[in-house]
Amino acid sequence: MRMPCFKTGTRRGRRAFTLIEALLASTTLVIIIGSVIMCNLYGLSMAARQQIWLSASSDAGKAVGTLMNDIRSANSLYVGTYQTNVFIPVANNVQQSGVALLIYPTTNATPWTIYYYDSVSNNLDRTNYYGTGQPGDFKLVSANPITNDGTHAIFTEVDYTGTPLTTSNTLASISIYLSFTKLQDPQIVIQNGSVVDLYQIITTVTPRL
Amino acid sequence: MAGAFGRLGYLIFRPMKIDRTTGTAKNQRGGQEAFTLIEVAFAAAIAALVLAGMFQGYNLVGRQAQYSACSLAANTIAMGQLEKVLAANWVPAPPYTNNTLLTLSSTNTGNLCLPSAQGNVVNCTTTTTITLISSNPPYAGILVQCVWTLPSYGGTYTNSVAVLRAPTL
Repeated sequence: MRMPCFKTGTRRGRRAFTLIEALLASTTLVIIIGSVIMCNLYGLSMAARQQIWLSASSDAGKAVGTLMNDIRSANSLYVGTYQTNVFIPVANNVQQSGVALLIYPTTNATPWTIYYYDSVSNNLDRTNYYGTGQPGDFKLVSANPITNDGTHAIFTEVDYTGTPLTTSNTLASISIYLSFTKLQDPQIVIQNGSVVDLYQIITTVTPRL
Repeated sequence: MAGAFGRLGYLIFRPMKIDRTTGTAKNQRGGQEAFTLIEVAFAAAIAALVLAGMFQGYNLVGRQAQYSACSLAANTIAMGQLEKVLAANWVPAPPYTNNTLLTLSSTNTGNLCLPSAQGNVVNCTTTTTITLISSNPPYAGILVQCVWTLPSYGGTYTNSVAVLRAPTL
């Protein structure tokens, strides 16, 4: 007996993609999507790099700006150490280098401003005092922690050639050396093998008096 | 043209069949239309343009960011040199005459203060020029120029700072 042939649902009059077409279409799709992804990955890597540079530059600009304002307006200044809320200036006849800087903007004992290296947080801090009953100020000079490795002091009194002084000069130029150990934004530890292995700021500021 | 490319050329450049009754394009696949080569070429060109635009945009932003960071660092270097020179003595009038300031024109090389890795620092050359602008009244002009090259992108730039200085009191 001859059975009827039901062809319901067959693809009469319609054709599927050939293998070549499917391969070409999928290859083109892969190329386009791959290109878009690569382009965006490139943008992402650029953004990460820019974030490091711009964040560091912004922080450096603020730190150096704060230091410049204070040192330029100094009436007298001293380099030394700052421990347990006591500033000790460097003695004479030794290199005028230290981790703290005391600035008097007037001829009086107050107000004053002190920059000092905090060995606990590894930050450069700034604090000041305007007199009894007047609120002082405390802030980080730089958001990024620095090192006090002993190879360079943070503050050094120098002459016009950059040579360190051995006799205290209350209006000497101050050489500032900030060697950073970490970036906060983005969080990067500055060490060998890292994205950043060296970041230092070395500059000089002279009182204007 | 199709002949020059053989069978493949024919497949690519074959003329579009036009339905004479409707005037519409028609190919051999039961009335279904495929993209023509021109359409595909235009689509690819547009995609390439979009991708190139994205790439160029990212590149431009990167360049500007890098320039901004380098420029700020170069300015810091130039300011540091200017501050040092400002500390020099200059007493032009006798009995005590000291013209140290006027002898400090110099050229130094160094690195910009930027985050770096594996020694990839940005070099710079700092030139200090001191000019006696007027003897009476005495004042000198100090010009410090920091010349640096933008890494990766190239281009040489100069940051200049200048100040007029009177003699030491």
